[in-house]
Amino acid sequence: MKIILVKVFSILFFLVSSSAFACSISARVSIVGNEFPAIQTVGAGAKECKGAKVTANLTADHQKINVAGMSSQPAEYTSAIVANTSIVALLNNDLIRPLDDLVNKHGKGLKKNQLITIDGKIMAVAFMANAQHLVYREDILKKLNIDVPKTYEEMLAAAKKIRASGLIKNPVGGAYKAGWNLAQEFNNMFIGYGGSHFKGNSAEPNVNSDAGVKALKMMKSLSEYMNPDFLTHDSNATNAEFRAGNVAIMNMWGSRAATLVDADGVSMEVKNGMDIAGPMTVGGGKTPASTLFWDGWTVAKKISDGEAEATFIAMTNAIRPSILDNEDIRKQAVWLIEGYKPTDAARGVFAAAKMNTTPYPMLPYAGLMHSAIGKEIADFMQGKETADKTLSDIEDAYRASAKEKGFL
Amino acid sequence: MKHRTFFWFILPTFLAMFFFITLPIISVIVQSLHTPHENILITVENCDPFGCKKVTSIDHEATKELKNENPLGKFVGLDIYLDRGHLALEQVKQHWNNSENLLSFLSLISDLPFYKAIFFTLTFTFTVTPIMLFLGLLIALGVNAINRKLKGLIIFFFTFANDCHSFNRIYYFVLDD
Repeated sequence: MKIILVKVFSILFFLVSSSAFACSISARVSIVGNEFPAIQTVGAGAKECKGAKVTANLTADHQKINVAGMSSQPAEYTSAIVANTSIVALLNNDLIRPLDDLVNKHGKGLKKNQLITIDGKIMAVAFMANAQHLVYREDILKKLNIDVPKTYEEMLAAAKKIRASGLIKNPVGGAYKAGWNLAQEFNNMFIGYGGSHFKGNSAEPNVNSDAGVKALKMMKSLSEYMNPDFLTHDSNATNAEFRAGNVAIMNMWGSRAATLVDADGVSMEVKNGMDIAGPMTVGGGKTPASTLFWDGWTVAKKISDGEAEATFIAMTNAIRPSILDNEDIRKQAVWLIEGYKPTDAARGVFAAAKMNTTPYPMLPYAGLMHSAIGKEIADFMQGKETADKTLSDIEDAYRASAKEKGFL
Repeated sequence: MKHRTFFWFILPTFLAMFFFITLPIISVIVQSLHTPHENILITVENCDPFGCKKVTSIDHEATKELKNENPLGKFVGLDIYLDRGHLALEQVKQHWNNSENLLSFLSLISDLPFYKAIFFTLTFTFTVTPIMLFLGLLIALGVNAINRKLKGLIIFFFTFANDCHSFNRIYYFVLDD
């Protein structure tokens, strides 16, 4: 009896101790990714692993460096944290490896819908979903008797009222920074008006259309209620404006909204007044003017199998279900992790999913279109060009780069 | 100098210049006449948290085969030089036909990336050069008027400052678009 008890205890002790030191790795792990709260959590989770060096380079410029950083032999980065937009560049250049074997060996805690499969092969593990949706100042709308906008037309009307009331001079916010951000806002609006970026299943561009003109005009009308420097405002700058009480209604990422007013120095007025709602529609359309995203991690192809295994173990450790026991982490994102119960902050993204928001297309040439839009649209927003001219410029710029890359 | 001596004297420099300057230039010219191979596209089924979907993707195996057969890529002649990102011959022709006067023609082509860059560089050069010449002359006259004993020191430091300035200028010209 005694011996059995001792055995039971020793097994129990072994289980406890092995789970406390669950993550041990034997090769280097080097991560590159975007920087927002949820991704910082993932980066910190990977660094908990002992036995080898784990480094994380989390920066808003990740898309500019991940391809170059994974192209060398061996790759500098063993893992890139990507979204459905940014995985395409890695797939196009054949820089990430299939994970099927590693999932079988080390990925028992992963849910099936976390596994991103391309042509039947697991190429990434998703950990969160994301979408842009409405973030607003409930107190201000209430004071002026304005209903929460459900469409961009209502948002414009609300902006007009708020400006007229004298409460806030430039009440509309948005990540309209020339480049990736501005292009993303165009994509949202364009999809909201029923546009599709490419002709059928081909790589031929299709933005020079009625929906394109309408999308540009709506963006221009909104920008008239924004801070005049809107072409330099990315998500961080827009959020800073909201925290300072200079913005009352904006289209913002779910991943940013949850922790938006947690920063130091935010007035109680803004803290208590902030609220979120689902994405808006536009032009009488049913599809929201927004896009669905997942964020996940990949493992580099040009590294040793040992490094790949260590990377997989560390990244899986970073998104293990027990991280959700921490309330602060739980509300950072709409986690796709087993056992996640949505917080209040997740309402916007859930509403986006429920309203059948279009997922961002994982097409090999979508990135070229995105950068062509980002480059050409600023001229229109500054009033230097007509909408038609801008749209035909986008198509020309896209065609030139698609030809250069061998898609047309 | 005897021809023989001259030959052996110049040979190391000549070889270095041939391998590190001439050959790379030829290589760049040859490469500029080629584009990457067309990607072979296939339709595959992708699944993500939002469901499964049939989408276009690159067939890496087949594309790699093409690349191995002809590593330089596809020969396209002067296409890259003439496309919209560079000389934009087609667009320039079109703008020439569509514009009534030279001014509207210039404003139309200044929207194309290459001409936009040229106009910027020209404006920059024509603004900066006269100012630089004039300021340089003033500085030279000033230095000339200084006591002979100090002159050497001042000239030395001006040269140093000028070098720093040149690096700065080169940085902006070459690296900043």
